[in-house]
Amino acid sequence: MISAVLDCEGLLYFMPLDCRRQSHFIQELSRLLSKSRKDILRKFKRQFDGFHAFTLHHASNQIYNQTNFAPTELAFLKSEIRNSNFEIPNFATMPKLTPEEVQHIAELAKLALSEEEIERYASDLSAILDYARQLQNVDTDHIHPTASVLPLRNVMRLDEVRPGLEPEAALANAPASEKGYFRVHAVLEGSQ
Amino acid sequence: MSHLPQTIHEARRLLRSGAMTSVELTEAYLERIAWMEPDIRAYLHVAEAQSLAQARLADERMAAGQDTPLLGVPLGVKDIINVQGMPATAGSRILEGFRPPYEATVVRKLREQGAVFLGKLNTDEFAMGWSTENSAYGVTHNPWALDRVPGGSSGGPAAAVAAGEAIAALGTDTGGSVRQPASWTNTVGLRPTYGRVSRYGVIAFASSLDQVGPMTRDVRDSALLLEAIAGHDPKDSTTFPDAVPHYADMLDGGVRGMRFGLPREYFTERMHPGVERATREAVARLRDLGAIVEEVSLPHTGYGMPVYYLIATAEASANLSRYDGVRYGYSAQAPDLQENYKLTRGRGFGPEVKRRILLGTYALSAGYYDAYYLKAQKVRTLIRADFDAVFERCDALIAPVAPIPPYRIGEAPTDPVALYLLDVLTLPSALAGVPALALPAGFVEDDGAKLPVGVQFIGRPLDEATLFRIGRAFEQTNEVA
Repeated sequence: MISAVLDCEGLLYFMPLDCRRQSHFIQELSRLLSKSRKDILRKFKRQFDGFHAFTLHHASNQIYNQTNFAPTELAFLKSEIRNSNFEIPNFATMPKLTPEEVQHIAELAKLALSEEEIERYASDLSAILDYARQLQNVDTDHIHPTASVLPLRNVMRLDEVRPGLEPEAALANAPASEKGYFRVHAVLEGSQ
Repeated sequence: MSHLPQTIHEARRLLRSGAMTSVELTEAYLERIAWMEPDIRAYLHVAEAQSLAQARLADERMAAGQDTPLLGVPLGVKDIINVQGMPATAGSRILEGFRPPYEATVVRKLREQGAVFLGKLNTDEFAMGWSTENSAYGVTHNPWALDRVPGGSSGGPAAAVAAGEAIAALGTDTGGSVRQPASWTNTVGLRPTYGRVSRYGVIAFASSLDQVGPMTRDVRDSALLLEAIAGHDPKDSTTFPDAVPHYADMLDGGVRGMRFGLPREYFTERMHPGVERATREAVARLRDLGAIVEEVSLPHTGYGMPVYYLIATAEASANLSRYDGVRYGYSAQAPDLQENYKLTRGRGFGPEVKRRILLGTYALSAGYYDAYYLKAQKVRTLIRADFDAVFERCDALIAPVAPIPPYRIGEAPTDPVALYLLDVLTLPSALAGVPALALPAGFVEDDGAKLPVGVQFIGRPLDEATLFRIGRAFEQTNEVA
């Protein structure tokens, strides 16, 4: 079963694709697309592997940027997929977040986590993300995102020198400081 | 002291008349704190010497003929707002021992008016929670039922005000953190319009949502306190330049002929029957006062929870990246810089904060940004539009605040989704940036306990004055009830 949905920019989202589903999807797509377009698919597949929740929106940008798909090729790919009978995704069957993925996010967030924490967060985050997937049911065609509820405006001020924190005050809470600086351990290997 | 004033306006009357000095009042409150704290545990820091010094200063100002609405009045401050000379922990180990080198604008304004700061009040870590159970420094007890939570994240301020350990307090509301504890402690909590009050010096959780709000015993105090802290701040470019009305002079007038919307989506399946009954009774009371109440629809209400938890955690993951063990706060002292970042943050943050940092980092990470974060921002637009549409017909909305009454300490739902649904009724208005005032609406029976329940009025942007007027009229029906 293949699941796909068009977003407001006319780009495709493939959400519930675990590895088994991805390969099934690739086979299905191969069947749908003409033989002469097999090379597109090969490039496409390369981008496709390694994603659990995957969006063609990103893939298309990445493919376009990194593997030299021509815009016409991408357009072809999209139109082929659009014309085929893909189902609206069942987001409830999304794959769970794996401990490896949690480890990766923790790495990005610079958080040291224990094995137990990783297991627990994998299960917690999967539950929350499952719930959050209902957002995909909302039609947001032509809806602008809200980053701030305030009317957008630039707030300017004169570029004047004003008193700020004294260095002593700024350093007062530092775990370690030296000669008016925050002290840290060496950043580069071999440096002192 | 035979009679301790419990509201700002009553305290001012007594101080002005010379019936008591600010030092006497402050001493009485410090005594009250010492007496109550073993049971309540609302304070993380009591500033005895400092508050008495401020009180002496206030008495000198009064002797010199000064008279401002807060002069000499002892207040509490949620420990996520910087007060010069006091610690600021945000309820987190990672800020243990931190003393902010500067003061929040809201505190500076109150200080200039001569308010006295009794100390810092408990909060869920970085304001992430519903109960103060996520505070690294222990849970605060609900004064109405000591075995129950006071709500959160501003549970310390709510409990302190309810227990008479402060005349009023400042809390913060990101997704309901002022209103929900107010509703669970029989107190008044206001979430102002986003941009009405400066966030400068308030430890950031989610910058597009955080607002400081007054937590008081009555509506007049809420108006007095908002007037004192609101207004443009050159140090917070998200503050409105609009002049601050004299809210406390605009309380009368009643609600006769006003139109109220009752959002049908706010009566959720999991709602406690007592909460629903209290809300229906509040509607009946409004009608008795001559108001028109009609059912309205805010169709995107149900999406508030996922939208909020994607946006707020994304913003939090960025805001909390500053805790690096280098400039302030806890440091793991690991010999390698990268290792020190990870260990400092891994040990310094509590479980809920780490959960939210992970969720926010995930929502912003490559490949998921559009599907989660951008999608949430688009649905946020639709949630705002829901409010715009109903405010074309209604002056305000009336709604329940929390779907259940306060639960027993340690008995929170364990499923994170069920837990996050606890603030489903306060999230949409926070996402829309509109003001909302939570008021006591009576009591509900739960498992043999009689527990406070609140109701909230949600208003148009910058129309806090209407909320206070409604609140004052509604509050008077409480007094006779």
